[in-house]
Amino acid sequence: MAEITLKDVHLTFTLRKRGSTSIKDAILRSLTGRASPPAPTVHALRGLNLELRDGDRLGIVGHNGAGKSTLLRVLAGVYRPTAGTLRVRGRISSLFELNLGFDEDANGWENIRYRGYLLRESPRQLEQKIASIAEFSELGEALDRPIRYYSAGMLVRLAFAISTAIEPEILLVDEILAAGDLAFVEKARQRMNELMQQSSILVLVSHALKSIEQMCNKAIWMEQGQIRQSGSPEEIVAAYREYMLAKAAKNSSVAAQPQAA
Amino acid sequence: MGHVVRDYFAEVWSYRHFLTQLVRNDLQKRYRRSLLGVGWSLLQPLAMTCVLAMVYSRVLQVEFLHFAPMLLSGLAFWAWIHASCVQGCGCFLLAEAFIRQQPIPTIIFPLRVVLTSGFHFLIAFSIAILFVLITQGYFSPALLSLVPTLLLLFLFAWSLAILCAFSHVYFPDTQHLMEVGLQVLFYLTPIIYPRTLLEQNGLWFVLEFNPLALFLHLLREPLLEGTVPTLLAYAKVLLFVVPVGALAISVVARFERRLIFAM
Repeated sequence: MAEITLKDVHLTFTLRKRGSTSIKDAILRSLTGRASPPAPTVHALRGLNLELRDGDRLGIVGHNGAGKSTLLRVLAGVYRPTAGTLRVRGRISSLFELNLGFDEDANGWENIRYRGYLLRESPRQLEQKIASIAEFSELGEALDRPIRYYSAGMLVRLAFAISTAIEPEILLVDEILAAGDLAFVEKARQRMNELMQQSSILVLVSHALKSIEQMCNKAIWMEQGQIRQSGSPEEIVAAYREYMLAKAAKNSSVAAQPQAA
Repeated sequence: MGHVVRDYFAEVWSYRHFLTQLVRNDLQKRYRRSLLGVGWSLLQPLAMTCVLAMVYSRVLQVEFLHFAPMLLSGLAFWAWIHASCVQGCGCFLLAEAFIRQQPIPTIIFPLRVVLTSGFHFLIAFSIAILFVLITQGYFSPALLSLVPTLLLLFLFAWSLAILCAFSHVYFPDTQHLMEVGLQVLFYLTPIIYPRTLLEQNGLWFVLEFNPLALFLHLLREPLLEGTVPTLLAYAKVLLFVVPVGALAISVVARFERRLIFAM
């Protein structure tokens, strides 16, 4: 039984530049009496409500910075909500940015183990799956090389192969499948469909509106950390597409105006 | 409160295979393709021990056979503490790709550092024990007192590594400060000179208020004298281990959830 429930979830965080609090700065500030500039606060998610059950496949659309990836990280437990309640039941496997969850200096085989143990497989379970993971990734001899030399397409094959091999109950996918070639994307889609047969939850963030229509049975449109609209994938994709086209048309007419004048 | 702690450690336990993989790879990375293998981690303390023991046995008129295991145990101990603090500083940044992927209990990464460097310590310390066994010809049952000592030392090193790790994320100067501080502490701890040198010169307080000197005493007494340290000696060490451990726990409780936004 997989389940995701969000009730009025907020996430606020303060952006810190790495190294902005060195002791030298602190001393200088106290000597000059100048207060440090306040760190910018980001209100990334604003009161999200969401309920997903077995068999739900949610597509998330929205433009960059709308909070889509942040929401996925909250679902994965990497970011904890500042307010509201979050309830997630079920084994989670997530595909975020490509190099996450890997040790760049280790080779493909070692990274299969890293990632597998990170998903809390036992050595016995994992050893049985390693061959099929390697086969699904189609990386062959490249698995002997450190993954720092992998292309984005190769990384996505490896990450996807591991993350789906452990039979997750909740699969979170953030816009990475696009890095794979057509054949792989088709293969990945099939694998995800198989996973969905075993009654689990999929949350897919994608700018490829077509794959949201094909893969999902629910969709939300996010804007500025809120859900602007939710409904069936067809409905949401159509509304979002219309909005984007209108915006693009407006931008091009604004750009065209000076020339007309 | 109790079940929060229990759940937290259950969560840590669930990542044990991941931790083992990290430690195993760290060890392999260091020895892979090298002729001596594990021997490399021993070369430095062994070479130092030989040279210093030879020089000191002349200059200070101490007995080589007694002095060599004293030096080796001291240097091995120091290397463990040094690595726990200095490598502890970088352990979160090194593991950023994992921390951003999965909500792992953060104390696993300082633990990785302490276990990897603790492995080197155990090898070097075992050699010191072997050396004593060969030169003295018997195992003292007092060596059993090393079990609680090592447990305390492990908790102490882990706490230090946790404190360094969190501190370094918020204050990136931590690592430099640790290096300087440890350098000073190295000479204030009877590692490469006998503790009697301090006692004879009225510097006994250096031994009493330096947790590293206290630990070193617990390690060396059963090894070199063949006697069990007094309960008072353990109590003195606890006086440092408990507050440092409590501080580490409170830092984890307070900052763990927010760590990712500071990285």
